[in-house]
Amino acid sequence: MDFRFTEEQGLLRSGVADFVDREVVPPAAQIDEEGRFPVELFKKAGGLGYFGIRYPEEYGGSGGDNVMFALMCEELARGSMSLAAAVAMQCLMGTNFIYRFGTEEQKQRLLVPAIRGEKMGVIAMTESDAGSDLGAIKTTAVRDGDSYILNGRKMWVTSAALADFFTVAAKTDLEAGFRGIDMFLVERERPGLSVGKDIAKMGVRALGTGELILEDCRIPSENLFGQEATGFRNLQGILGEIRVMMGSLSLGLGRAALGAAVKYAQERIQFERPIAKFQAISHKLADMATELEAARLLVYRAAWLIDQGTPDMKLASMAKLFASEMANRLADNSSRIFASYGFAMEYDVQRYFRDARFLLLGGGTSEILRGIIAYHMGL
Amino acid sequence: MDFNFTPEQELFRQTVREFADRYIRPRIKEMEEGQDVPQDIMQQIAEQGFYGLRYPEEWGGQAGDNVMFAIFAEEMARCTMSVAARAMMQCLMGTDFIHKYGTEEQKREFLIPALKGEKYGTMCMTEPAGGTDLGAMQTVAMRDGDEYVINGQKTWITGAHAVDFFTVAAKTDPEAGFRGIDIFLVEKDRPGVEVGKKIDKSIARASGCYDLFFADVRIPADHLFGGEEGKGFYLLRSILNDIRVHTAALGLGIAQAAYEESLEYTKQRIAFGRPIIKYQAMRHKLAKMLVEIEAARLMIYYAAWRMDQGLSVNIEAATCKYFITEAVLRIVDDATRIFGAYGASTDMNVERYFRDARWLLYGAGTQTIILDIIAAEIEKQ
Repeated sequence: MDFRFTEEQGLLRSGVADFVDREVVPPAAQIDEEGRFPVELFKKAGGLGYFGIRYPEEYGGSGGDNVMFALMCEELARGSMSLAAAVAMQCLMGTNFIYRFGTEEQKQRLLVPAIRGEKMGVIAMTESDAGSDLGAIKTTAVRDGDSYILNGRKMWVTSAALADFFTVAAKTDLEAGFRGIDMFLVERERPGLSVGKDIAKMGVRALGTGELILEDCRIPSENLFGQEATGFRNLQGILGEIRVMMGSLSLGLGRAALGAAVKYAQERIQFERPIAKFQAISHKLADMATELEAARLLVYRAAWLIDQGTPDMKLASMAKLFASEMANRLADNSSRIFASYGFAMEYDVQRYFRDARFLLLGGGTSEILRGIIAYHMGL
Repeated sequence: MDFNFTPEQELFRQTVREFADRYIRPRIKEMEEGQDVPQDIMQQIAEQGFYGLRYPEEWGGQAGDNVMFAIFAEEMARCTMSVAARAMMQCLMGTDFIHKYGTEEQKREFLIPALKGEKYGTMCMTEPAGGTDLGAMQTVAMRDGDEYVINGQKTWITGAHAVDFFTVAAKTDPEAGFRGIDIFLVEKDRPGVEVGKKIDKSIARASGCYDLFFADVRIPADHLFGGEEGKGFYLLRSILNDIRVHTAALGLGIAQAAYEESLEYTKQRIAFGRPIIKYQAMRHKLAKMLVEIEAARLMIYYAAWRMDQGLSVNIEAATCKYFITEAVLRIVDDATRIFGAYGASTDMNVERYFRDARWLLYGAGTQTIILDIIAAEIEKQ
């Protein structure tokens, strides 16, 4: 056993932490309030090499491991969930299919610039009637000679208005449920592609989330990732990583919520002493610290198992489930400690409280995750 | 990073599990009904060398680390908490002061035989009026020439009836609260030592807890641990984290057992024409159990590993003990729900787990005091 981070992992963490303290924490409240995507910060993160952590050097990446990716997500989420979620999308779901299944030409044209922060890639899976039940999607991809023609409407697409290319889930076989799904590369400039308006939402406000509309959108057949009828399997190849990533984002939010609460409890005077001196408050803080510690170990272990070449879907699902629920309880408790100030826009705690809800959704709802864990227990 | 147990540690886990299943499990009913752990079982644990796990070879120990000891605690409690609690006393609280602070002669006379199972020891801290608030204890040890004279009453003393020597907390300065406490070695055969009644209890029924009385008990001055008065509080603190981590490991063992048996039961029990495992309400209960067990296991072995690295565990020991306690209480509760009415039957282990898990609420510090400790630590950070 050895619970220590490697020197490389430690250096990466302190590097990102530094960036977050200097450049992300100060404008985070304003970014959220304006609800406008922080393009400059996003590009800066690209310039610092964060988008290439998971990719090899030949495409401009740094060949890091999943523990490093987890540490980066955690640190960024401590500052701004809107930025952190965008970076995570760029590093993982938005670019992973090109990396794994794209042609060399696609990699040079899209992956390399994406890793540099010059292009943005996102994934488009959900539809208005197909969330957890992804097999129910109705977007179709019909083969026509050397092309596919895509028709359908995607919902909850991260950065739909800003992205340069999309990894789109569509059905090549409408009758086949999950197994009929395939994944396609659709560049923004393809005729027939349009973007609806962003969804006004309560949390992660600076990260636009919108509708992607595909109307007779024709793409070359090499834009199909892998063979036909392999989309679901290929998606499953990164589901574990997505869950660990969501767990890491949860750790960052949990730390921010706890840190704010500890500081406030030591400063706030009631009945002539800091409220941290009351057990009702200090025990809440102790509860929070305990849950955070447990979540941390689950997330890092799940990340480490991926790096060992022994990914564990059960553990990754547990890490996501536990950490996201933890983040929500911590945000809740933190806002209780702040009392009225907990919903004053002047303080960050209300933002943590709102942003935490996002963690319950992406990467599988808690309800779905429990089913997956049970399945992997052989039930 | 390396989250894996070594092959050696895995093998050791297997050894303890097989030992417990073979020698202890068949005797559980007898022990629960008799409310005691028979001495031959304590002896069998000795023959495996388990009492010496934490101690160096020069005293007959195995020189194992804290990760191994946590594995031992977990596997013993997976079988039965009562025996595990008694074994922990012998391995840790009952012998640790002699090892750390005893004279060479005391080690030869008590520690070496204890590791062989020829002598037994236990720890005596709690009093009727001094549990969590240890500083309120009233037992006194007054110096008289080359001796100390001990007077007072202790309670909740594990295995008092079956041991040969006690590690006793008593005040050398009755006015001084915590700081007035010192720790003494008291042999059971000293005149004035009297074991009182056994406490009839619902938790860990066979562990055997007793009242203990000291009436003008005279011990030589070298039986004061630490060489001088006023150090007891510090000596005590040096072992508290060990106790917390390994108590947490006991809780993990109960949680694991409750989970395994619930899983098995849901596969066999048929309701509305199919095994109840097919119902989401059951599957998700089991999934929740496993999530908490995985998290707790990581916390406990992380803390044990940190101890082995010589790193501070003030916060890790407290958080893992707090976490597993709340988790195991939820897990045994859900287990009895899964078993339905059978969960209340003494033919089923889960009813025992349901009772025994509550031991975690008190052993190694109540949850409220543990939260105070965690809060104090995070305020320091």
